[in-house]
Amino acid sequence: MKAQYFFLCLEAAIRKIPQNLIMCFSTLAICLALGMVIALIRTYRIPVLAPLLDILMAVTKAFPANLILLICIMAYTYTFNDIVTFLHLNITIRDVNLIYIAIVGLIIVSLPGISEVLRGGLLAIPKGQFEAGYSVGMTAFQTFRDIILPQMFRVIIPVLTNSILTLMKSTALVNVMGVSDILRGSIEAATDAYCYLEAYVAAALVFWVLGFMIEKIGRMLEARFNKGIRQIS
Amino acid sequence: MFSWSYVIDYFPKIIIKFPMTLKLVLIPFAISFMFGFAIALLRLKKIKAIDWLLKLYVSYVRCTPVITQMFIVYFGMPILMQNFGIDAYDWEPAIFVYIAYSINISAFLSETIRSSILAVPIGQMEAGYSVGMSGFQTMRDIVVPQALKISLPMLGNMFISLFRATALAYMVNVIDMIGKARALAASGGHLLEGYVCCAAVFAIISLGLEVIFHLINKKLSFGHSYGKQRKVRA
Repeated sequence: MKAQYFFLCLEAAIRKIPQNLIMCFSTLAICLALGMVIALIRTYRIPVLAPLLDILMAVTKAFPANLILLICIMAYTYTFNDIVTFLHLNITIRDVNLIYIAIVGLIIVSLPGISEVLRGGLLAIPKGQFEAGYSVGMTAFQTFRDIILPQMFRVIIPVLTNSILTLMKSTALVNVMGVSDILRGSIEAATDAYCYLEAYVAAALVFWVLGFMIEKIGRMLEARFNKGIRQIS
Repeated sequence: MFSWSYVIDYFPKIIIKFPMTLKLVLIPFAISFMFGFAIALLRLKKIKAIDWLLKLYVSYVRCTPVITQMFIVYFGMPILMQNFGIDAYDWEPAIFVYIAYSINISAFLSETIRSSILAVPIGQMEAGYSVGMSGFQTMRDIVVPQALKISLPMLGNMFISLFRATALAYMVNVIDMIGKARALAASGGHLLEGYVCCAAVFAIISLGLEVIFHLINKKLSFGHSYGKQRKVRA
């Protein structure tokens, strides 16, 4: 370990933080929206769709994350020309930023987990809350938006923090697709001096700080939203 | 272009390497089960300095990606070993993966085991003492069996996620299923087909494991209220 190389890699890694944050949080936003729909379908057992999604989620969860990303990028490069000719677009494969493909891959990777978290939140809300909403004349959508969703959010914060942490860690895998991120930036800075140990330690340190912050923010939110809630312990 | 004939052609060649994947799961899991237990018991003793150190270790493992942990061991271990006069540069790459995953899973297992030991009612410990058992005997014969039963669903999940995480081992030149797929592609092209084979194997095995663990849990939690509660919340 040489301090000089370490700081070189650390600087390169820190420069790439926005890239990872963009990937992490855009994936999270899309996953929350899609996951909510999936959770609602699965909780209220909508015929045909619910069992189909049960199977789909279970199967998706069974694949290793980096294989999903690898298959995504390869399927994309194989089918790119067909898609372009089909849509009559005049672009080549170099014009498309690979980060979009990475986000698609990450959505596939983390959607089962996040929809499961949301489903757990939905199930944790007592049935009486729905009935209370209906009894004062609210529609099903109003009840969901104004009564269920806020309570659900409070329940899922600890588990969701965990999912965000996992998602953050899986953004480190996008370098198998050739997308630049913290890890790749750090390694690229190391190729000249062949100081790979320093590069990986620097990347790990950056991820550690980010993960630590996510955990801290999660705890803070949890404490804030649980104020005034009486619990057994 | 993608062709199914290559998938069928590659499948037997890739499945041969399945024992390697199995080794990558079983050896670290066995090692980290012991270490995880030791760490959990150590943390329950609540010695300040050790507790703080172990917390730091768990935080490191939780917050950094497995891929960086693996490479840090891969590049760092030989340098560390050199200080003790051991030449680790020509060790088999799989050994580094065993070490890295053991470090990783130990941390998660220790948290799981600790929370399950804490979930056993304190009366059980006192019951052991009241019939004259020592602290160690009570732990071994009364508390730990109950704690293991509580932690089984989480252990199952962890085992399955470790199985999926072994898909990273090819990056340090371990010839597992994916490594084999890449080797085949290097001579004949068609990398995607090889990956599809690997993905299919991973999916089938982890779905199978999930069903097995589910059945075990159902059997063990028969008549217990905590099994039902967990089901509603998860």
